[in-house]
Amino acid sequence: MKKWPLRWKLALYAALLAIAATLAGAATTWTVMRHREIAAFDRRLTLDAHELFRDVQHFQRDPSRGNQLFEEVFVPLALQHRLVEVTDAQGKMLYLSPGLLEPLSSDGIRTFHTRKIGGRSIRMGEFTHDGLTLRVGADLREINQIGRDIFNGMLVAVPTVLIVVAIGSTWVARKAVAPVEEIRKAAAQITAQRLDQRLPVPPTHDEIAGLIEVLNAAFERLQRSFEQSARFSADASHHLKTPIAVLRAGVEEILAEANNPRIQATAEGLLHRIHQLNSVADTLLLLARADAGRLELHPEQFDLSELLEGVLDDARALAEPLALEVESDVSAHLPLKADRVFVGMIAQNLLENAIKYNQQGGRVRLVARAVNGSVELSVSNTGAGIPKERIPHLFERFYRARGDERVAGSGLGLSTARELARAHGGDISLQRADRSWTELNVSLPQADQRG
Amino acid sequence: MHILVVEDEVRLARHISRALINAGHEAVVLHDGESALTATSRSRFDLIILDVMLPGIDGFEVLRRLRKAHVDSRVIILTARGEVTDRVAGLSFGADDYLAKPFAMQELVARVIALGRRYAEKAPIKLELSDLVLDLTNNELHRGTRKIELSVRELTLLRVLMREPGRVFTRTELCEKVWEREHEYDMKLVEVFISRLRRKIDSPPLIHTVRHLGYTMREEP
Repeated sequence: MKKWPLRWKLALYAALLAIAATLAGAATTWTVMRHREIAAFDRRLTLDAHELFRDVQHFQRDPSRGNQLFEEVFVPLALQHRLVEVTDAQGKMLYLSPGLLEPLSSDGIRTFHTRKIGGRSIRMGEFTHDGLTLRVGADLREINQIGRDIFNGMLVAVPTVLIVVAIGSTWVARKAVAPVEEIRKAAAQITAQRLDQRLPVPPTHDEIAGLIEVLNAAFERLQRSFEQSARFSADASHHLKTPIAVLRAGVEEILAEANNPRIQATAEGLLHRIHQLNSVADTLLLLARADAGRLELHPEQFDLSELLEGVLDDARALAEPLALEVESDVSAHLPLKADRVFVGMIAQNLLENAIKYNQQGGRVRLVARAVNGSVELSVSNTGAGIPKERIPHLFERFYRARGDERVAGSGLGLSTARELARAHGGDISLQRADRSWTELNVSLPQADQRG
Repeated sequence: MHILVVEDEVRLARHISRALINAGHEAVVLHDGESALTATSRSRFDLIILDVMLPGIDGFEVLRRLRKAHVDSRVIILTARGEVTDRVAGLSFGADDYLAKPFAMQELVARVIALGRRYAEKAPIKLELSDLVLDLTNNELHRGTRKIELSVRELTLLRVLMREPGRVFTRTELCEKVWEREHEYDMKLVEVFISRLRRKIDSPPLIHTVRHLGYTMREEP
């Protein structure tokens, strides 16, 4: 039920509430009606009793009649399902109606009360007049009929109410939820490229309008911080690169003019560091641009196999001192339309990692081939593998799977490579990472195939 | 040449002008676009070195206005962003060359020299040093009659060195000229490929290490 749309949930709750209200109403009605019915019943019993006393008085004025004649007088009442018992002042039983098998013992004087006789609910009244005590009772079945009537009524009413409320509340709920649906649609239109879009604020001053205003304010802040970060990547490149250029020019001048070998050595070392600093700044700016969704690709048509030749040349040069064997299986002609510089970075980063996290005398393997119009690269290597718990973090920035501080590197290689592959509409995935062999796969679709 | 340097970073501007003066040029330094436009309307410069990010009017705008006013000085754009977009923008506004910060001062001087003789000189078909001949049409290398096979990087590196015999290249500069991208191991790579080239070219040696400076190619040690 948690996954139900809001309007169904609202309809369900409304229906349940309506049923509860109907039942509560029925119960109240029943209680009140029963109370009134019993009061009316008691009045009828009282009338019966008064009539009976009148008859008895008539009999008593007529001395020719005997006690046995009581029955004649009371029979009509007994036929009306009344239960009657008459005793005189001495407690002597004068009459017991046929419905009663034994005398009704009096448990103290109570004008009206209900008691159980033979499994039936009997309403009793007790009256005294001229030394005679008269107990009149009747079966409550007559008025219990009302409860049954109400129950039967409910059987019809509850489904009716349920249907009406369910339909009605679905309609109401849909009407209530409609603005939310509108907000959803409008908000889906707001993307990194169209952050200046806002949700239309309805002229009403209800909760929905309030919500939209709050959302618009949030989008405003989002846009501002987004623009700030975009400006940052532009400004930062200026503010980082210009001082680096100054540094470099200064150190080059020192290097060119110094005659002291110690100063020359220092200057040359510094130049190397400046170069590294520049390289890190470039990577960070690249990632900042990717984050801001402003990574610009400049696709051109080129032969990937030629580009990989250079990258493999570097890899073999780096692998030589480590006695690593670099194998390659690259198709002779691999036309690709993509950003050449970025594709080169992907291949270079992966191969560098494969060499870096290898073992003495190990192997590195690069495979590249065309698959259904896109190009697939696979870079694999021997080595200690990647511990299972570290695999989910493999592509995180500054994360180093082996956690080995002796291996140099910024921890940006893989995350940058994946960022670049994704910018091309491709991806990088880990195919294998056991103790003997690690394999990464890159897919790169052709630039004009992407949607 | 009479050169105008427009760069808002004072120290960088000073380094550039000093390098140009050392190379035998005259350099005028300005720090914003407004004054650059005024200066170019008053006197003629052979070359303008123009930073893109300037206070007030930016470099692209300065360039656009210069070309609109039919100022035909050659222009080298300096930009912090080594991005293709900037280069394309700069060249489409009428820049003659483009250099991304940070750059080697020697590189800037070399570009200035290249622009100065650009229309006079034809691109060489062969690079020669002593008995070492690199044919640029088919990338074949011969030492005397012996043919030498080269890998991609070895070829690019050799081409850079042979183009300017006698010039000392720092390792940093070679990295930038041979590898298109920044490389974590590029210093090491330069060393590896230099030693491979040395092995292949054999004796008498033509590639020389200039201690603490870098490498150069010349006949005599």
